[in-house]
Amino acid sequence: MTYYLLPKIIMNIWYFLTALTLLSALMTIIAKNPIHSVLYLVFTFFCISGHYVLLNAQFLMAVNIIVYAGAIMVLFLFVIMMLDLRKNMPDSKSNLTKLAGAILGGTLLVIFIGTMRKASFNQATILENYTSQTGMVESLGKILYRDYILPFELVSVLFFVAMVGAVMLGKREAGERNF
Amino acid sequence: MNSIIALSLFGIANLFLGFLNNRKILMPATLAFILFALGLNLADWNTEVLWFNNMLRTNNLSVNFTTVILVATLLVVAISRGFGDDEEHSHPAEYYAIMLFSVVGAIMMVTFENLLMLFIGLEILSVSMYVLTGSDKRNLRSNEAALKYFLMGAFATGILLFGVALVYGATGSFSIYGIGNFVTENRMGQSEITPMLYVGILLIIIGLLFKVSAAPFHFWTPDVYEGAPTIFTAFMSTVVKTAGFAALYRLLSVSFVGEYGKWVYLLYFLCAATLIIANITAVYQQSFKRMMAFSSISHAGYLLMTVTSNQATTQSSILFYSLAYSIATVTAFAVMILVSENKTSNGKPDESFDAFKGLAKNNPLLAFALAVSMLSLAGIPLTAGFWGKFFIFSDAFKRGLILDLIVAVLMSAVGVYYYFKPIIASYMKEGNIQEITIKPIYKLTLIITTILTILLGLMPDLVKSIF
Amino acid sequence: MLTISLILLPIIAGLIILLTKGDNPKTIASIAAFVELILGGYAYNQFVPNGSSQFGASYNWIASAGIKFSVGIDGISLILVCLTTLVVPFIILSTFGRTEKNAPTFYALILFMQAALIGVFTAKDIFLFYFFFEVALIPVYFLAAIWGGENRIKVTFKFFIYTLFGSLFMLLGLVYLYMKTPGLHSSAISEIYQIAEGLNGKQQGYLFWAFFIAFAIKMPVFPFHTWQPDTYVESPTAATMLMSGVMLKMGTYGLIRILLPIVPLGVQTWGTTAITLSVIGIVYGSIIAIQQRDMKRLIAYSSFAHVGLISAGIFSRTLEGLQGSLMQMLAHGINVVGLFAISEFIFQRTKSRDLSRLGGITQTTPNLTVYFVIIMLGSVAMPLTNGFVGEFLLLKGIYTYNVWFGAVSGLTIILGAVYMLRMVQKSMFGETSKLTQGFADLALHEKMTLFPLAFMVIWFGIAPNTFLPIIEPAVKQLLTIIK
Repeated sequence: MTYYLLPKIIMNIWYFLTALTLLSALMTIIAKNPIHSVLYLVFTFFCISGHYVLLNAQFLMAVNIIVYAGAIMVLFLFVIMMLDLRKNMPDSKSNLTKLAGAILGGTLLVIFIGTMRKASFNQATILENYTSQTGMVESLGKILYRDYILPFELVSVLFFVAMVGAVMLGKREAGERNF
Repeated sequence: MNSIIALSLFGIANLFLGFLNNRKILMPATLAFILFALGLNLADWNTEVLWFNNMLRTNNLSVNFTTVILVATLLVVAISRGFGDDEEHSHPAEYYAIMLFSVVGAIMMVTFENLLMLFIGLEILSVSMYVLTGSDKRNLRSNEAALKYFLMGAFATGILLFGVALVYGATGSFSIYGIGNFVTENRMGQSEITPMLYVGILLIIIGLLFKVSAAPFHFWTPDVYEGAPTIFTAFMSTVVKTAGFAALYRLLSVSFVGEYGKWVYLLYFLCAATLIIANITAVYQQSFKRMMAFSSISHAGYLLMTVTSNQATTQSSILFYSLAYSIATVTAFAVMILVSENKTSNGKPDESFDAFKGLAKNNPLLAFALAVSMLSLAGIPLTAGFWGKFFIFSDAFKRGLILDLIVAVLMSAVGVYYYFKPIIASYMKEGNIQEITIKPIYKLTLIITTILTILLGLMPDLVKSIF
Repeated sequence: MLTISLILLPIIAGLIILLTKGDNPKTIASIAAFVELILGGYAYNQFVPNGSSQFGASYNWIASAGIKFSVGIDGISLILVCLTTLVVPFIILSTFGRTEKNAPTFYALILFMQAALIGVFTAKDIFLFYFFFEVALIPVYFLAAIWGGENRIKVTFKFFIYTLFGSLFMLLGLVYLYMKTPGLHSSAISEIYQIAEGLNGKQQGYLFWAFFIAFAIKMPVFPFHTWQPDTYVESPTAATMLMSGVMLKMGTYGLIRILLPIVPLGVQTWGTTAITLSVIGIVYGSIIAIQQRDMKRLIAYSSFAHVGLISAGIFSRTLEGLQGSLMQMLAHGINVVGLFAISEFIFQRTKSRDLSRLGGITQTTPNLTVYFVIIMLGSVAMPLTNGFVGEFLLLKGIYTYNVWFGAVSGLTIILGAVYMLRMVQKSMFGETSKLTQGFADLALHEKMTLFPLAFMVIWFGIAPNTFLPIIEPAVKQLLTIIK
């Protein structure tokens, strides 16, 4: 495995960001109050955006913050604030379920760690091509609109379905719910 | 590719048609759109084209799979009766439009060359299905089904995406042939292949197996199939399965065939587990719809058997089996829709086996169509389903999958038990179902599918020689 | 061409009956059956007994898989084709006594069954054989389940699943053999025979059990017989006649055509087990038959016993055993159809099949007694009847194989005499009971059913050479294949 001599400060920032990410992600699921949960999730997204910066993907950082943390999570907050969730506390799962969950999650963790330990860069990712412009908006735009134009256009179908579906499902209808 | 563009445009056209006050035009219009797309698809026969920088590949395989998908959609639309029953509560234009869009996703899953297209196609198909599952808004089961499907489906898509990322990291390419070259040229031991590739393969397989409801990823299927409106259940159990297996087959046979020895054991045991779980649980079901859900899981098991064997004939086996299975399932659901609506208990349609009692007396066509479709699903000779199973068994024999074969044979016998319950109820038990009036196009669909099943049962070569 | 028309004629006739919706289904059905009989007679006439397969036809069916639709009649098939064409007209005639509900479907199903049966007996391609083998289940299941007795639903369902389960194993065995044929696989029987020579003992053992289970459930052989008595009793008599008269011969035919030539080593290893099971069946069936009061159940158990004898004779692998089994198949088919027809006629008049409540029928209807006694003697295998030829050859074959098996099988004659004579005595002779006092005389259709059957019992007994020289070359050829 080849090491890259990063300046020590970058490594420290990386460790710090990772710790923050994991901590806030954990707090998202541990927090009792749903609004706290959402805010922790927003914070997690900010930390991941920081990771993107370290990976030289500035455009992704910007988009992540604007779309995810900005639009989607704010929408979540609105909905949670409108619903009164204090009454619906989820009942605690049985011990067996918790044990099974722990074992499965732990197995997955072990698999991923084992994978990453033996990971190495293969010849395909040649580092000479890695310029300072790699993660920038311009090169990303060029690839997106030249090589990946078809998936880009077809994703519009997906969004369309989501919009039509959301409106159709959310529309208020006359009549009671029968069953 | 042309059919993708056509269907996207037609979907939008359908939404505009919804503005007209005339609801009756929607179903014929949708049928015409699908036939047009089918024509565009068939025009691509015997061409080999790569579209848009190796994103999609049109060849005979894609034409065949697209044809099966479009035929299944055509049949489902033909029995949809325009969704016009309930003036305030149904939105037929939206339903048809979303169905067309989901077919776009299915075709993308069948013609993909780049893993990104697989993902997007899968998402389009799945999101459409989430919406359609929940479309019966007043029904609590439908809401529950939609939520379950959405949550578990999103999870599975996430796992799939993670697998795609890992495979990209290990091989450096998104195109399936690129990955395939990389995998076959490099073997384990060389520094090129890393465990990341295996985990990636595993996660992709898991994601796709979830979508086709193989065990142990099948737990969402019964509740979702039972809660969704029956017409969309018919759509789900035919189109989604065919597209899913086409995608799985293409991936496994092209990209990952180099590492066959690693993933074959996984599929080997999952296939046996799927068959056993599905068939044995189906025996205990009281509701016809739920039984059909488990039956679709068991058919996923049979298809998985031929995917595991990965022979040269696997492609035609999958196609033939999907076709036979789709036709039979659509017929069965078509009959079920009519019968269950005929006999409602406090506002809910009766979906248990008892609703079929005495069907044969006043409705011979319905009873006969039901009997033929059940026989085909069970794999009795004289129907297309038998030859489907036969071809799959031949493939499995070539590879020597003995455990799977024995399990498949035993479970076929178990399957006969629950497939015969509707036949027995309709022919041999007493009931008081009056004559059910059927619209002409509905009747025509039933007749066509029944004749097709028997015809393919007598002469499977009509279709198999093309596949 | 002849074979194809033998298969197609009942199908077309059945479709005509269904499509014309019920004016005179009985007439159309009986005409069709008699035309079929004439065709069968023509085939018999034209057949040259030289051990080859004649009247053949072969079409490409599933070209991509090398499966052909090829049919042909050789000596062994001819007997069974003759049996089918002989017996079905009388089955149809015997139902004239009452009008079934939904009669067109009833007769159409009988005709479809006949077509499927002839298909089984003439198929020269193993998958065609399997196809017809399975397809034959469908009409008989619906016949039994829709027009049957009280308990019919569960009983017939058990029958269907049990039989299907066995034949699925046979399918696996057949696909295995098919895979072994070279190149683009082919499933012609002759090719399979060639391939089978290359199998070693262990493989042959597995294949033996795969095939034996399928056929043993069909025939049935102890201990796979539990479906049989209930199904025979609950089915309408026409269906029972089809089942015991012809359908179970599918199993014995399969033994001769498929099991013996393909897995001779397996038969050598496991043949003794098979004969033991058959012989147990003979004795067990006979003993239970002695205690029966229901006529139909008694005949069912007697059929079970007779089939045990046939199967033991087949596994003896001697010339006499095989010839005897074929002759006995023909004889048993005729006899059992006659016996069930008589029980049906009695039931139609007295609404009872209980032997303890019948009696003294001969005082009002001596004709019936005459026919009954003749057919019964045929079943008991008295000399001068058709049963004698078959059983004698069978016993000789089994005796050659093993003296003790021969001796125990010989018990069948004695035990058979016991229950058959008892049945005739209890129903025909003695005091008339309440039920049988007003016993009407035989109607025309009943005489037309029973007279030819009784005639055939005696004729085939006196002149077995109507059939023996036909089967001899074919059987000899089969034995050379086995060697």
